[in-house]
Amino acid sequence: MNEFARRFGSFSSGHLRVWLGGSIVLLLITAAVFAPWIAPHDPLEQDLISGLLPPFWSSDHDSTYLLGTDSLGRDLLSRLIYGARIALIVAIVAATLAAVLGTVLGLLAGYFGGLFDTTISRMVDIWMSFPPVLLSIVLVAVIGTGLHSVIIAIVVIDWTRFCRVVRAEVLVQREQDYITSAVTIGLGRWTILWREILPNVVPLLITLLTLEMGIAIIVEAILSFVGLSVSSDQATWGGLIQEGRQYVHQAWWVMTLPVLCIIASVLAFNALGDGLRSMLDPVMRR
Amino acid sequence: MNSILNIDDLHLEVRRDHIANPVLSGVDLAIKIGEIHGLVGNSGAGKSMLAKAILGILPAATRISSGVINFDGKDITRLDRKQRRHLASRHIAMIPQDPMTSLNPVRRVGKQVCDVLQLHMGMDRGKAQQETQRLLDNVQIREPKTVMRMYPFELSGGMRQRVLIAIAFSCKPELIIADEPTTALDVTVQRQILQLIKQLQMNSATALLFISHDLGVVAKICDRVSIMQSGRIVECQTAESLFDEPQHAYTQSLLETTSKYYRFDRGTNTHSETPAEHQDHA
Repeated sequence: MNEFARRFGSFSSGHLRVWLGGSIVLLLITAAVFAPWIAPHDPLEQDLISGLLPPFWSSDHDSTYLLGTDSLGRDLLSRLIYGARIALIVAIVAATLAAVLGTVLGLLAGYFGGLFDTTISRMVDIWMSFPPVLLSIVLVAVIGTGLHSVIIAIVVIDWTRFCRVVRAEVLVQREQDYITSAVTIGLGRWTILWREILPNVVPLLITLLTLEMGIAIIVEAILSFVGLSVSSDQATWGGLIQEGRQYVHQAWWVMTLPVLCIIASVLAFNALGDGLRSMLDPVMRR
Repeated sequence: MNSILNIDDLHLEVRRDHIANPVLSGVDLAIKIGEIHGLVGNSGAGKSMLAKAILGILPAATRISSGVINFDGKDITRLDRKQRRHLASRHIAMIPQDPMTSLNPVRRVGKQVCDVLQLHMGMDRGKAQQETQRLLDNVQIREPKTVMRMYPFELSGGMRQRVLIAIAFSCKPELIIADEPTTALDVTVQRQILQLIKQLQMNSATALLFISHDLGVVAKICDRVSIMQSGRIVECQTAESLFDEPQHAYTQSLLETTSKYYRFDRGTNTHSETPAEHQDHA
């Protein structure tokens, strides 16, 4: 059996989740990257005569607007595709930055302990006692709207998740016999942290990271729902929900479709992370 | 014969709730160059603590309150972390008690051996890999190339202990501390591992501190034996005279209880057998 099949083929439960989640995430990435070529219309192009048109399965749909239009006659499908761009950028960038910040602090706090650990841990405790959505809204309100503000808000709030979990895992790992072995071999403390402990934390990190990507998508949707994300001339899923909310009695799909997009992408990220963890962990400890 | 390790009146205590509990109270021990020195005692006698003190991996709450551990003419209780690291592997190595947990589970076996060689022997990657192959071959692992690419969970306990033994001997240290290296293994594998340790030790100039609670095992491989009881060495003898005429009352009772279950056969030549034949392969 070759290496690939041995590592990726044998864990079938993780396998399925990875393929399911992975294909949806891939679809999302493709839509986001190639939005200008895929989208049938300009997401901002208005056609006031054909407002609130129903999607293709309805009898009185317009074939040029596959998923119907919003109140200003803008193509819903195109707006969803462009919305995926913002969602994905936020998901990947914010989650990664939060992971890096939280992991570094968590590793140091867990491994070196002492005053540093106490400081970091208390900080995390205080941080986590704030209601996260409120904190993010306040943060964005203070530093101004825009994509970078959304990303900063997510990183500033959610690094604590990584920090806390990584610290706990480091505390477990550093008491293991193989760390004692590494010490008697003569490896330095930084080498042990980087080469011995970090690889053992990675499976956990992958799960957390993908979970965080899902959370970032939701936070972005919340912020754009209340109008604190990117400027309103860019299509976002949260913005679509906000607009559709007003017409939900006449045209339910305008609000429902972006909601479905959010649910599908969050589920996909979670499934991918969960599957990857069980596949990448050679021992399947957890 | 000169001693490589000289422990003089070592006192060690564990602090718990501001009360210091003595663990070692005045240990004197000398290990000669190139000998296998057995250290026997029941659980809680302080064998492992002594080993940890020598290796410099004492738990945080433990403290050496007085005494000297003289290694190669230097007192190693006063070294800082950096100076200790220079001693590690190159001069003092360890064979751990539990091979199942003593290798990093997510790193390939070969890499973990290479690490030591690159760190202490100044080898580059390619050279370290070649040497790793030779070392694994030395500990009678068949197909060392394949094993190098495996993760620890793909190896049996015996195989893992072989890898750890290879690591311990890799930098040709003057002293190896084996803290009950066979207790976690089953009896058939135990014998092979003991033979292997003895054989490797004879081929090198390494002294070995062999910690065990099993007098039968100690009788087979050790040159001299120290008996430990509640934080003190109560008797130190050559293996022959210890078993023939034990001096201390504790040793006598140890021998008595043990001989009910074992028959000591010091006469058997442990090197004539070829362990490779009944090697446990994963």
